[in-house]
Amino acid sequence: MSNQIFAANDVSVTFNVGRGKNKSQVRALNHVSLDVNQGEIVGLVGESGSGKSTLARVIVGLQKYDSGELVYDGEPLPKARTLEDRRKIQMIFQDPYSSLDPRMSVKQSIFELLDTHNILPKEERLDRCKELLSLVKLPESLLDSRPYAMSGGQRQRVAIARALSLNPHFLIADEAVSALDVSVQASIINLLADLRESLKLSILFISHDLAIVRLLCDRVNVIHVGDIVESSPTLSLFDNPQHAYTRQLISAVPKLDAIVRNAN
Amino acid sequence: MTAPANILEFENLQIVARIAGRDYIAIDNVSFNVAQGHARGLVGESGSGKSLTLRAIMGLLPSNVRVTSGSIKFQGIDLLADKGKYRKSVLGTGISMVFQEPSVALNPVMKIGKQITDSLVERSDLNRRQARERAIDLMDQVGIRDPEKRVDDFPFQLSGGMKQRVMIAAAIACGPELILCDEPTTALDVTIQAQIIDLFKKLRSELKVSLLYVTHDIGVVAELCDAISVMYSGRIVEQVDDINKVFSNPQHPYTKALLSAIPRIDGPIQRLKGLEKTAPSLTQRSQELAPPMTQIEPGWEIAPFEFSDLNQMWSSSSHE
Repeated sequence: MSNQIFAANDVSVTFNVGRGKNKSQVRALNHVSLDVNQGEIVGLVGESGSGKSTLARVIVGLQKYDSGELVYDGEPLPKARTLEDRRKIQMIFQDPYSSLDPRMSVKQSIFELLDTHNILPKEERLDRCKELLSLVKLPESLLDSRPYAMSGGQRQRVAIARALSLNPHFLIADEAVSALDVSVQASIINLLADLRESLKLSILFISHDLAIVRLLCDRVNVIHVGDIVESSPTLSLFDNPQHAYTRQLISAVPKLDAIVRNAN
Repeated sequence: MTAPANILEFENLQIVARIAGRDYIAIDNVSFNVAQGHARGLVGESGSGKSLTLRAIMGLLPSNVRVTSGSIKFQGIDLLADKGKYRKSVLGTGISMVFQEPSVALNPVMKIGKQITDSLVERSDLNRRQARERAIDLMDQVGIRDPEKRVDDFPFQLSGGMKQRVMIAAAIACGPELILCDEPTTALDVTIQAQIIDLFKKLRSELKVSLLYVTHDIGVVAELCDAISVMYSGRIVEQVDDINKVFSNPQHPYTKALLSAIPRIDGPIQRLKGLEKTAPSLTQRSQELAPPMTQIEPGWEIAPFEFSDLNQMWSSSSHE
């Protein structure tokens, strides 16, 4: 497809586990393929241990893979990435309590990235910081705050601002809202949806929460012990799940009208 | 059908926390019942006071936190009176608790069979072999496969869901009538969560246990509970004995806001309404006492809307 921004083709990852006579190998990803189009939010759903975070790490280059190919904007991504390659794909991690450096203020942690990548003259950095904060709907007064003084939702917004600071076109959100309260969770989901519109971002949204995926994503991939078992547009996945595991996942989600249903 | 008696009754509970030499009201005016054989869900965001309320029953409050007024009656007798002597006599046999994080709550260096029957052995004259048999029975009851083999495993050999089953087996070992649940499925995957919810349903129908179930997940409460109390900022804002009423027709603005912030798998696909502001932290909260609840109809109460912390919060969220 012409507007495809990212594709993973046939990616496999094997981990060595145990030592001595207990040594064995675990297939974390088994010939996994998925693709993301420009401006699209694609969901990746699975349980713990299904390989969804491994895939995220492979995509941003934090994890080596055995075989397969990653394609960004029509060009294969080399195994050894340049700074420029790394800039294109950014990631938001699950736990904003451990993904931010506790000793750095918001400003410092954004400066750190801008300096490492050397994409902005020093005098423009502060303006860029302010711009990023307004993008993630945080007040400028937080520029000098450190993570301990911020709530979970604010921290996650800072993490998103950092990810956006390098103008990526493709964002990976690995369980980005799982550690947050429902009320805060809703506002972060809305923020991601807004960013997709305003920045034409493509997002790979990794989650175990099917209800959120249903609201946010255009297409969904279901991953089960290292295999993508189903990949379809969100509506058809929920209305007409093809794979037994997808059906099991969907039926396991508690529903608010359960009691109404039981009573009738 | 006559209304069943209440197994647990909270009356005007107030809990105060001492932070940096000052007292702050952490929980105020909490009154609700758990009817015999019923399940009540206690729902709220982090910091709403739901876990403190639960811990007050067990006497597991942190050292800087104390109950300053009110009573918690189990089968009509106050657990807080008499320096907790009565409480000690009913823990395990009358009331038991299942915690959130099974991998933290279980002892990593003790075989699970022994952990399950520890409290039972303490209270009876079972010998080692009988206790082991009983542990196997209990493990079977909570759906652990091959209990004869598993009984000598250590916690690290089990998955998260299996550990939570072990915790539940330990909780029902002495045949309690009330189980207190502190977010028991929050750390688990959805499919495992569904299994644990089914297990609780089974325990309710087979053992006739009552549940007080603390969670931030309203979906779980909808699946499992009959009654619900919604907490915000240390106060109950809405509670109803028939849970359906809250979902079909929530009365309090906070309940409405909370319900609309939840992504639903069965509702229309639409933008969520976030609560832009979260509850103020304990030290920034208004220290005024909670006003009395208003009854809408028997078994359905809401807090007055004017209560200041609340006012501040939903007036800022309503324009989202």
